[in-house]
Amino acid sequence: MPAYALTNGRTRPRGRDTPIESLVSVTEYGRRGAAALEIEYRRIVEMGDQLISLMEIGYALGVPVGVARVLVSDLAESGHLVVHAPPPVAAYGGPSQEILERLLDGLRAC
Amino acid sequence: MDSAPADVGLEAGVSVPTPLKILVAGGFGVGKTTMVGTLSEIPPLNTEQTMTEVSEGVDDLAAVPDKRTTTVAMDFGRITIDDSMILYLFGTPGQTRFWFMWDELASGAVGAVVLVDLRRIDDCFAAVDYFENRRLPFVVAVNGFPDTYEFPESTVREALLISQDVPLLWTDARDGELSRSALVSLVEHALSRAS
Repeated sequence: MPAYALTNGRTRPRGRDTPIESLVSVTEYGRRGAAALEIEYRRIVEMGDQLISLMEIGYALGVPVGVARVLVSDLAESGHLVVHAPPPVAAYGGPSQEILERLLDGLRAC
Repeated sequence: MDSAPADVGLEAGVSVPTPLKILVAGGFGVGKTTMVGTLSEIPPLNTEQTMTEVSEGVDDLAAVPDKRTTTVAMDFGRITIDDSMILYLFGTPGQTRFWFMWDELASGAVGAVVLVDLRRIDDCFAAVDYFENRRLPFVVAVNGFPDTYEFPESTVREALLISQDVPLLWTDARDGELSRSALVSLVEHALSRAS
């Protein structure tokens, strides 16, 4: 089956765009309701048991990240998943100074 | 699907790490896959992704209405910085005949490490141009292929046509310490833009 058949031809989720590094987690509702979902949706909800990025979900499903984004968006809308958008970017277009400083400290400590 | 109550979210007390991303770019065979693999704590994933493509020689990418999509291979790795931060690494493809519109990858990114093989410096120009045009912080890292340590920095800068404010460093994509210090240089450079 072509990947885009999974999404009924949609390549963009409804609502706000989600960056590919966005992390996804399952909700209590999603955990309880996973068994009733179609297979692709169920696999995503199961993956969300641990925090996982949109990119990794696409890889695990063998679909482009754009397709994963649509499926995740459906599951977020139905309350099975929460999508945690990355923090807003600073004026110059990248992460804030505070975030970069934490990253720098972390990389130096690695 | 059934609807859930609006406020169903994470359990209380669960904090979500901040995801960040850094691009590793450069020409074909320059060591992008190697560097992502060296740095990543997971076996690097090689994925095929559908991306928007634009012909070369176009200055203002945002103004191009005629975009096509194409499928490209991409390396993907991860470094857990600490409980509150995850860094994702994207090795971006090396074709130079076409440059891809990596807006999705570059958007909100910390920046890019452009890997260079001094025996084939032309291969990195597309990446350098792209990041310059997009004003994404980047460093140029000369990958340590044999015989490439012979040139003084000024000669290399001149050949690469990069300005003085772009950090230039020597690395070895197989070496964890050197690869990580390329990331450190990039973050320091990004910080100078952010502050």
